[in-house]
Amino acid sequence: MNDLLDFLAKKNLIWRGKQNTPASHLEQSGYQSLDEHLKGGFPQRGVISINSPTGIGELRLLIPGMLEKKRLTVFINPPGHLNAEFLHHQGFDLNLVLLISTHKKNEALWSAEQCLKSGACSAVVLWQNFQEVHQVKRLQLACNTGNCVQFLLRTTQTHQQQNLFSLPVSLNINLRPHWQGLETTITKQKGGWPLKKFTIDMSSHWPYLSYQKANNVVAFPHTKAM
Amino acid sequence: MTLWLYLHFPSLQLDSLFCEQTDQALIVISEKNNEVIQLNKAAENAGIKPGMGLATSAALHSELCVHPHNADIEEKKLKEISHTLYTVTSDISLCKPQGLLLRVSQMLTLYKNLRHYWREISAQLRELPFKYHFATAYSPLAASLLSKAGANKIYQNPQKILSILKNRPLSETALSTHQIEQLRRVGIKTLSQLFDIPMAELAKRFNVDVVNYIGQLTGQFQYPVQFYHPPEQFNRYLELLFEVENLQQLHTPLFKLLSYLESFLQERDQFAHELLLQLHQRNKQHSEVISNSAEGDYLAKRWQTLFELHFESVKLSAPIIGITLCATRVVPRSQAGGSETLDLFDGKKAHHSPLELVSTLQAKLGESAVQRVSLNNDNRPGLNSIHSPIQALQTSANTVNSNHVTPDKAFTRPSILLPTPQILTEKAVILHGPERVATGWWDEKKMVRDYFIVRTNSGAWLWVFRTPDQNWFVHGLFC
Repeated sequence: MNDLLDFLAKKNLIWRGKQNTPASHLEQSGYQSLDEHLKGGFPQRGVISINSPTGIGELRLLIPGMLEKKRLTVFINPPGHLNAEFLHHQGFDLNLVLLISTHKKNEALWSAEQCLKSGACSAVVLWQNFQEVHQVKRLQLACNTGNCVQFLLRTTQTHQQQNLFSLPVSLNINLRPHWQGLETTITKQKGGWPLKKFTIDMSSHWPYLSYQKANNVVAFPHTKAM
Repeated sequence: MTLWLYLHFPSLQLDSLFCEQTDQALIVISEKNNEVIQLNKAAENAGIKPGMGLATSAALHSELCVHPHNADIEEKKLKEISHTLYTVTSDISLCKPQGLLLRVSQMLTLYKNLRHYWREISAQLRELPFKYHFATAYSPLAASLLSKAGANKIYQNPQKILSILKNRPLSETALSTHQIEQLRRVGIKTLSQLFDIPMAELAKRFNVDVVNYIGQLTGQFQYPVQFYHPPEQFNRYLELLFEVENLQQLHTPLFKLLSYLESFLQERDQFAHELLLQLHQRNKQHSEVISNSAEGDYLAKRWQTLFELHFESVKLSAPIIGITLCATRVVPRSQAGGSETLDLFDGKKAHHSPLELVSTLQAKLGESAVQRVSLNNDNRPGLNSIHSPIQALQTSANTVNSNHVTPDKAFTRPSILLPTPQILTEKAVILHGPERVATGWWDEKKMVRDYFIVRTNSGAWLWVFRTPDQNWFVHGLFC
């Protein structure tokens, strides 16, 4: 038994509670407070699940960490048209951006898996609310094969409905809207403890999308309640 | 002189029937005059002989299984045989309906000698269920004649071949009965007598067809030969001996086809990604089963399990009488999903090029499902971002005029644009704006809008615009 534990420990497959340094390679997220809480940034490979309402800045949180120039970045089933102008201003090489739209849920997972394990992509962003444990496990294995990171963007409500099972993800982040950026809770972290609520200040990256700098708030003139 | 090898398959259709029990008496009859042309051992034991009428043979055996002759099946089988042989010999010509002609001379530079060559050929033929006769000669017609006569001898010595050829009766030649009769009347009964007559004499007395034939038989005249080159796609048909109503019974015949596929792919060092199985039903309907393997595979066993999974959802409207297996997507092994390198420290690592990935995705999802985004030189929101299907990953520089990129825009453009603007229904607070866009008067998409960044009460950041008639729409999300 002890031999086995030693063996696993040598292979870096056991994480001990007292351990402070995370095992895998990390990539800076570009947001200082997040990097501090994640002890360096997002893992370079593995599945990262982001539970967040739509439109509060969940993608903007990931973008600075995704700016690798050499390999493809893939977006699967975004909730609208991906804006080329936005990606351009953020510093993406548009030739290295793929956009996949599928009709069926399984096709989305299949294409994510293909992209991950191909080794041609550095990051895959999938907008999908519900995954089974074994599906996430497959994505995780594909990530390791292709040295790629998979972001799963899920809307919060459905997450709460299926809170029963913990998915085998490397990192699980819950996001809530906040006037200065995002209110973040890390519920699961490979090689680390879950963390309580903290705020990511995005005002330096997005001056117009935070309350602090926007002193010119005007009450909204006519809101049409439909 | 060129040496030719002729392979004659006397019972091509009969042997191609998928047959498990051999005690069933089988005959194939010609449609023209209902005569037995092919028969198996069991039928032979019952006393049936080739050339017998259908009624006589039916009287000789009570449980006779009769198949009408079908030239299409024989041609298909002939092609399949040539596909198999093509792996060891290059020049193959189809001699319909039942023969294959191989040019040996050129191949002898590759093989040590004729015996070695024949050993390779016969090893291939042994794998196939077909009975065959063979013979070599220095003209295609002579090889064909000897093989059909059942010579079953491989000689390289021209004298030896000629002496055997000379002993054959005229009735075995391809001359018409009328011409044979003419020759018989002047006392010529065997080929040796015919060969003794000089060509000029022959030409004086007989028809030009006879002269041509003799010339081609002895190799003095050229016999036109068209060589057949098998296509690079795997497509095989297997006719079932019995009608199958239960898909589980397809197990064995399907495995047979899959093992053909396995050797086909193995020889070419390829992997199949997608197979198409057609089930030919008696009511002339085809149902199709498509099986995919993202990783790519050639092993019959693995494809078999994949197909069996698919069979669970197939419903048959009539019994199946035949199956066709077709490899619809095949790639070289180096490009298949298995193109992973084993790194000493990092374990398995994949190295696909982006194009390979795109083609894999497009093959499954359709061309339009995989898109690239590009900038368009247009100031109007919604028109400056273009989604287009990928033809090839171009590395062209973006044609964007850097003048109209103001630093402000970097912070005021949403990540997601809605395909069509939606009416704003939530209460929201304006945080930035207005930014007026009033342009496009030159075409039909004229636009006068004031854009704002707002935050809804639920915390979402939206890009909204106000039209001149004070309607508010959501156009984008700052995801």
